[in-house]
Amino acid sequence: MSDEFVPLPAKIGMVSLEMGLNWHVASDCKQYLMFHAGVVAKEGVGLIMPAASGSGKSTLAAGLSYRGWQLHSDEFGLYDMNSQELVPYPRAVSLKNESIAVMRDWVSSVDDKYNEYFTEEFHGTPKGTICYMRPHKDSIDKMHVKTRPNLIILPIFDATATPEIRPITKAMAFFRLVLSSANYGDIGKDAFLAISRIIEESEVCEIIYPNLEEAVKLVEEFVEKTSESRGQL
Amino acid sequence: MSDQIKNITFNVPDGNNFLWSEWEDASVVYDKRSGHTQVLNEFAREILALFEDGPKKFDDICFELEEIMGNDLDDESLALIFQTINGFDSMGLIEPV
Repeated sequence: MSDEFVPLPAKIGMVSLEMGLNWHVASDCKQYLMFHAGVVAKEGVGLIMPAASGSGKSTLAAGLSYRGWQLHSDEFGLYDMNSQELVPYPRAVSLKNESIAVMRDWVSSVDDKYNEYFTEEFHGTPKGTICYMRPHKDSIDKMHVKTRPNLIILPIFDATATPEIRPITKAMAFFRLVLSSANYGDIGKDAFLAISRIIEESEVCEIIYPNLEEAVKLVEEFVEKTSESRGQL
Repeated sequence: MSDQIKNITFNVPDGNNFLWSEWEDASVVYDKRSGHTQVLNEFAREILALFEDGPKKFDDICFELEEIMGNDLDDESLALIFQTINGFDSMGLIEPV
């Protein structure tokens, strides 16, 4: 990880704060196996969505959190290797560019006071326009409730795509988790064993979606489809 | 790639250094010495298992695979075995005796 810091103007100091928080978690929370992923939970389902920046994972994690899911994080999946559970880290969700309007619209459909949940927009940041969104109250209330992971979904946003759930192999899911981990190489053997266990206990797939509504439907569909097999794991 | 590799006897330095996760479609091996993780398909997994049984050359591997498969290996399979052994050597999963 590079420790070079880019100076930013004071008017986007909030973005510096977020980058500093990310750096602090990535460099100091070494007791956890960390995934660059959106993580949510609901009724015994611990869902990890590993993805690169710009894939829409923040939007999807935030969107799910306003449809009954507990937001663990839109950015950092923190896995406690001792308890074998995901540890919530529901800080403000970092929304970028087009996803800002998408989330305003999404939250406004369930809460009249939606404007209170969003900060002002910060323009001209290294990632374009950024806006922060407060996690849903239920996610804050449950911030000490851990969940065992048992579902891995690789999200792919494509505005022109037909919504689809695609099967992937467990080996592919394994490597996507390895590639998304910020400290797999530092932890070594125990990280290998932990990811092997997660994959062994999880159902895995890839979803391709053109918008947030379809993405949430696909996630719910996969949860429903795998409810029986997850119960047997 | 050099054909010289066909004359070298390789073995797995210490199989206890490997940790495995195996699924129906592929196997993943973690090498405790290097800290590297590799994914192996069924064919590569079988070849590495033969090296785990004891030191072998290219011809030994081909002979044993023919025994397992019950037929002669074609040129494509021979090239794949050569490539796999070469890959194992590069990854440090096997080493010359």
